[in-house]
Amino acid sequence: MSKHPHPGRRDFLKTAAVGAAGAMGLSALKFEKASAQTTGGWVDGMAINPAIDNKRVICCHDTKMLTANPVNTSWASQNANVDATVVGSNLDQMAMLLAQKTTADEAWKTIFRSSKPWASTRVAMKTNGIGGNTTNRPRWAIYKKLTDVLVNLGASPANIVLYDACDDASTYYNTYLSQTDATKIRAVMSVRAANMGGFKAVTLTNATGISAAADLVDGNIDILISVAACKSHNGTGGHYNYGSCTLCMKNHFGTFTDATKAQHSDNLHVGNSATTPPPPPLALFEINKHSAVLGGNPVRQQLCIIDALLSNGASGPGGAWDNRTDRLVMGTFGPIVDYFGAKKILLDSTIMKSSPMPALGVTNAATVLPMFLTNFGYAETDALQYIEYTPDAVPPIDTTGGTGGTGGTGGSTGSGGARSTGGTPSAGGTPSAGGTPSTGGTPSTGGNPGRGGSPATGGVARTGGSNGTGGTPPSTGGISDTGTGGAVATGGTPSTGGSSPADTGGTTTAATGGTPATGGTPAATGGTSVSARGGAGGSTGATGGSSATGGGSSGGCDVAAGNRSTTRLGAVVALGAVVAEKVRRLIKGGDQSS
Amino acid sequence: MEIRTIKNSFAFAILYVGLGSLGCGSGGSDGNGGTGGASGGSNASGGSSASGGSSGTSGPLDKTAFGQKFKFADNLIQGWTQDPTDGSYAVYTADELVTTIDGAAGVYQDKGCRVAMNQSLVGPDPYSTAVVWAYDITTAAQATALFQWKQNDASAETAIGSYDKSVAVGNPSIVSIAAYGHFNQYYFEVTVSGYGDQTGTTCSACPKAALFFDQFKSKSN
Repeated sequence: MSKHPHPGRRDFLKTAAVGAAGAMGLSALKFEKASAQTTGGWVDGMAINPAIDNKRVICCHDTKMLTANPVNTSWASQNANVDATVVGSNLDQMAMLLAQKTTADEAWKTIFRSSKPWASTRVAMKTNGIGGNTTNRPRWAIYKKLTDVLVNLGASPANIVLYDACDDASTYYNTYLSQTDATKIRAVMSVRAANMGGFKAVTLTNATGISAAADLVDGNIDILISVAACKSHNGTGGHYNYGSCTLCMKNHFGTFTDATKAQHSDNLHVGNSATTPPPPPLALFEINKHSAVLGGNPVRQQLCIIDALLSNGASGPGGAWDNRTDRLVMGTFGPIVDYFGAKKILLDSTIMKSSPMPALGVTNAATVLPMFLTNFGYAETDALQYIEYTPDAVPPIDTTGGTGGTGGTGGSTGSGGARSTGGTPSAGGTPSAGGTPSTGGTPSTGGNPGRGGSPATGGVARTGGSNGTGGTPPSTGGISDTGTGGAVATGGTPSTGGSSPADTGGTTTAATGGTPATGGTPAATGGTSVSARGGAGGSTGATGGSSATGGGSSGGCDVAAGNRSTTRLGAVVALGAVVAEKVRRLIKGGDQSS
Repeated sequence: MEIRTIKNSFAFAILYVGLGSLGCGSGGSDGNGGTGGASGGSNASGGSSASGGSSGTSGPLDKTAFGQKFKFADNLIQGWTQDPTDGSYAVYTADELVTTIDGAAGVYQDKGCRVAMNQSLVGPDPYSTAVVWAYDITTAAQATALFQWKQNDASAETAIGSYDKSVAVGNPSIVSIAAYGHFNQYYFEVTVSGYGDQTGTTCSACPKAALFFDQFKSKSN
């Protein structure tokens, strides 16, 4: 995992490339096939969404999503302290990081796709009605946000259904549901499969007597979203099966079930008694490959979310929540979302400190969790991406100082091209005045390919520097070194920064920004948002100087940092670029940025 | 596979009984002995005395009788009353446990559970709630084994009232105390919340949990 160079601060965004990715060559990477979407369920290597890497998972950690500890374990209390506005805003940010888009609208449009007009598109959102009044289940605010997004895209509330085909969830959600009240979940409730065409028998290799909601089996649902609570899972014989967790995949034990009774089918459960080590939960994997879930074109299940605001540790799957974990996890591919949800939250005793996962659960997870990957053609050594987003943390930018930098002249130097040595360091910008857009990045006509990015070293303060490392964003650019870069450059734009009051941002430091610039790079940084990318390009293109203006952009970046609202989005995006850059570096042989 | 077959046949037996009356479905097909009492249906007492059967254990009470045996009447513990929300009291056969605790039911099934009762209560203090479970685990030895498994699994070390930790023990969390105990052939779980963070030096919810174990102890005799 890359660590931020300012150890005294909380990381704003962390990226982890799991496994040996850092020492891995490109040849070891798996890229999903964009054209591999099918109507028949999972095929190893297929892309759930051609625009989003199956292996990318976003985790938001924000203690403001809960205004206080719930006073007790009841369902009402679980929801009473959830700040739906903050949850909604964070889901927007997560969507942007997941889809690598600069606006929430763009991001959601990338995530949710339908072959039909939106007005006739049917959406199913899986919840969990099992247990009683104190059972940990997904909080209403998440569904509210999802339906807001879908309605905004043009979906009709009448075509959005909240369901658990196994247990009646209406008891818990009806009060939060309305097709017309925009303050609620705009959807209809399905009591078991009643509003999903009833049940239809399915033939499975690893379980008998199973049915599923007919509208999923028959392909009448266009978009499926699995939202799961974050719970540990013990089981038969006291062992911990299913990777010691019940998350987005096992959530579908409420999609595939025994139609004759409102309970999870025991045929789907692992009947291993005291077997050690625990056997693979083959039925679990099979239903999550089934066409009801991963069939369709576009693929039906397009988003998986773990509600880890509150989590179950020692209390197991049937108990009440016993940890406040303040997190949401999101991705397009359930098995990898679950893999990270378990590994990064449920098995982390520093997060589950109130009531950790029992030791046996930890032991058994070591055997079963890797199967979440291998059964779908992945391995722990793949370049999995776990991006942690912490909105209330101080962004990795020096914000002391003035309003955001107009932008430093910086970069001038950058004789560009050729390599990075790039921009003179900075000198750049005076403080601020905020993000003027950064003229930055002139396109980078630039130079020879230059290795742009590397320079990153530059901008100490990261302003500029870090991001800047050219090519980042367009990552493509950087990666290939072809330097498409500059183009993007619009860089500074984001300047939004300046506007917001908060932004004390830029200050000098920022200004210095340009520094990094090694070759034009810098510019990138600046452009908080897009520009950043541009910069990157520059790097590549290296024309350096030109784009370089670096300073300028860096300024913009700073500003952004200061902000908490939209501005911040810009920063986030820019950081997204950083992430891309870090991943690129890992691929190329190790993250040198510490 | 063998276990699954047994479970399925057990389930079938339960279903059959359910269509008739509440009788103790486990009778006969159960095989644990004690079938005698089981068939009693409403005559719960029958079950208790039935030491018959090869295993020499008591026969299980039928669901209704078992539930009534351990259910907390309003104010049996001063100020604690039935949670008015839907589904706050229920009784399950071992095979039906999966309907409410999902795959976790396997732990109880494999360790001998025959019948279980679940009840939610609200207490006299602001926000105070309690969720209690009572399980018939067939024999005292099996109830002890389940308790010890749970104690070890949850790393439960917090004392509950004056009970020895080999009898009742708790696992505090940020929102509740989850306590486990056993008396005779019965195993119990009590989760009390509404008293704030219990992970500090003082477990303010533990004395409340102890009140429930006091009653369970009395009801187990």
